[in-house]
Amino acid sequence: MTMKCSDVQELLAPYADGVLVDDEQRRAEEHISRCEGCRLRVEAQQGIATALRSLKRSQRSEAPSEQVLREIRAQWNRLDARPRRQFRLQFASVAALLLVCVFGVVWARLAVDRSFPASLILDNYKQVSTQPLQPDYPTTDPANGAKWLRSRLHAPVPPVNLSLVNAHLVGVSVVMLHGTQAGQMFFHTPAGMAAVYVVPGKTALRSLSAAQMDGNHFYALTNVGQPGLYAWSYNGMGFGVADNVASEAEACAVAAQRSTSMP
Amino acid sequence: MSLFSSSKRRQFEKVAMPFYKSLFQAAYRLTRQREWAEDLLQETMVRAYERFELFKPGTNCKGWLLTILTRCYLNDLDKGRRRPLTTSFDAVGPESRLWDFAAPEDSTNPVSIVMNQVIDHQIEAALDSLTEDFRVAVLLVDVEEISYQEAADALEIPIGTVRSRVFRGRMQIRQALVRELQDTELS
Repeated sequence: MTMKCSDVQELLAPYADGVLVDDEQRRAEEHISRCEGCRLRVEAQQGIATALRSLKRSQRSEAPSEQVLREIRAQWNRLDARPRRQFRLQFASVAALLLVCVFGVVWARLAVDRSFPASLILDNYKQVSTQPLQPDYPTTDPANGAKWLRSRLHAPVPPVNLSLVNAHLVGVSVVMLHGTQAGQMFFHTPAGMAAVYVVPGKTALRSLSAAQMDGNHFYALTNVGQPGLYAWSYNGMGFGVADNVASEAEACAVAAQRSTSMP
Repeated sequence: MSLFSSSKRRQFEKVAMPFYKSLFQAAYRLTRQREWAEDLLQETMVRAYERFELFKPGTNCKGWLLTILTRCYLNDLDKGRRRPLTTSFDAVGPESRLWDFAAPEDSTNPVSIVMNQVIDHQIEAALDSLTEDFRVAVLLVDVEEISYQEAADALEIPIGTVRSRVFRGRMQIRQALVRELQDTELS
């Protein structure tokens, strides 16, 4: 196929420079071999290109002022310093982030309400003690009762044995006290009914009055003529014994604390 | 200076700095203004140092530096920060007529006759009279002697456009020189 001059126009300059290869070289050669005008154009291209190259070589030697190189080196120094600044910035960011995390964890731990719900327990006990007792899991075996509560509360609830004070387990239940899950162990006592409450995570008892009985430390919430509560903490859980008779509550609490702290 | 920076600096000094002076001359040819050329050189050397990780060892470092230089130059033009000096060369016709160049008439010795009689400043003036697109393409390929592909990369245009601009630019220069010669002979 015969090509027009305009078809090979863009090939003439590189052809004149001898930098075409393969198909482009063949196309240009084929056209130039038959077109005198383009052959002369290629010669003209070669002549001008040669003149331009010699122009560069014959030009006077210009050099930039020394100030330019000084400024360039100063800018290089600034660029070299940048990674170190970035590193310092990154280090500071990571340190700040860690600090925020640590602070967050501490704050979260402090912010969690660990106070033992003594008043709620007493209210619950008052309500339960006036109704026929219907525990969720009736059992007389403290070990079974503890096992059942462990599975519900996901906490290491120990068996509570009050036989020393002639109190016997009748059953256990789980109750919600304003969003807080608590275990209940119900005991028949000589004077009526006592309940031992186990509240995982609620170990802050300092709002109650400190008391000491038979060498055991308790925190008490008692009012004359009202049910009494004796509480203590053990193994990440808050314990409380509620009873209509304060003296019986004391005795049960001593027995329960000894029972729970036994290996 | 860190160990990494000093190693980079040494490498850059070794590979790129040998072209420092010729790069300035290229900048001078592009801008035709000393102050602008120095600014361009500075910007180029700083940019090249900043991006030295992108340079592939063993490839044409001068071409790489010229690419950066050309882009800095075009960037200056685009932003209108500076204008190149224009040279009037009456012999050069409008761009639209360029392909209508007649082939050289004396086929026995058409180019050498012309070329042997012109002097450098006439070539320079003819080159400077080209439109900016053609002038930069011819400068890169013929004066700086980088490849058509490198020129295309530097100018961010297709290689076919570079080839075409170089062809037309050279023909414009030739035409300008021939007319200049004819005028001289007549006078």
